[in-house]
Amino acid sequence: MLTSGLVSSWRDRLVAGIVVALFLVPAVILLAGPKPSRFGFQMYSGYGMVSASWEDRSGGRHEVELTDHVANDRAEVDWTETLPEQLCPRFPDAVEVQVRRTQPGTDQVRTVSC
Amino acid sequence: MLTSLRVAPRPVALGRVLFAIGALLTCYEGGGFLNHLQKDRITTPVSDWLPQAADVSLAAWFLTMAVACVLLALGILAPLSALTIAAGNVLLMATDQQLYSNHRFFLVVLCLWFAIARADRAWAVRAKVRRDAGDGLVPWWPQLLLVATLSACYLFAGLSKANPEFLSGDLIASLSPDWVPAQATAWLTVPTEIAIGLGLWWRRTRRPALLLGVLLHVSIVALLGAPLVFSAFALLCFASYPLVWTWPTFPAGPEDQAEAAAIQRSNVA
Repeated sequence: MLTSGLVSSWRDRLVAGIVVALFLVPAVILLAGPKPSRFGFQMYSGYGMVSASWEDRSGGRHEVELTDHVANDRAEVDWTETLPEQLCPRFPDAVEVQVRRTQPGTDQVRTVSC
Repeated sequence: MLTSLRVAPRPVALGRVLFAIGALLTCYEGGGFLNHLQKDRITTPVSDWLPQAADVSLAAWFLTMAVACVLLALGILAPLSALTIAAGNVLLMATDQQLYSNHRFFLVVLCLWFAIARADRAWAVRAKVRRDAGDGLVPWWPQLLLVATLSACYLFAGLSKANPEFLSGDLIASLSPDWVPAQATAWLTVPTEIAIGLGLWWRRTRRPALLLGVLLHVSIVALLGAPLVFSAFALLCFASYPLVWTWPTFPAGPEDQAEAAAIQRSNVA
């Protein structure tokens, strides 16, 4: 470990401060706020998932393979915000599109008519 | 004292080469996502006032990144190359929310430290064509920042996985072949990553932690999907391994001085 004798000038203190910040910043991000968070520390931690489905005129429900429609289905992106409207034109037979975002303790669902 | 410590240049030079290869793979992955977004995928802009995915020329972006990575690997204009890679990846993350990743952010932070690490003082074109006055050693404090970044990455990767969702094994099951015991692997991952993150700081645990790290990355690449992404991440992490393996005793020991003198002689010859 580093010893206190190594830190004697303002430059040393600056470097030591950066080292401390490298641990403090992710700790704060990890402990504060909901997970997964935008620009947060995810690292395949298993938080959250997103799924989408559409309904045809006869009431049949079809799952959407999201990776065919987005570049990277990251869990922290609030897909319920705009994704339903953007999926509608991609499924001409859809009368309704539903996007579900599951996070620890919450289940966010948004449905739009096409 | 801390900022006046100097060490032999070869470990950080080896790290520079590993880092440049990892950065190239990470940029290739990012370019693939950008390509999808520019073709037909649904976009999720970060902000209206920031550039959008469609505003970035994919060819120009990737060519710039590839050239910067190759120059960094060769040790030509290394600080500028590292900063260029950092700027290019910040630009990528600013265009669309889907282009953010912790791996990319990790890459950007490491770029900053490699830009100031004087990693081109050995095994580099620069070292061959330009002789520096002085003892041939390089400052140690940028290497401390590199190792601290690596340690924080492992530590918080482990801590963030200590949650019921990850420990259920569902995530690993979705990424790995059926024969992998997903839940046991999930439970094993958390203490492993935390142990590596902490183990880098003590003399007795440094080398075991590095060996554990190699096993972790090899198993991730072998067992989980997306070998490109995980190989790139492994190389970004491995870039700091030589610095931990050769963690110095201070003041710079005779082996550091001897290595620096040998490098200076080989550069002159």
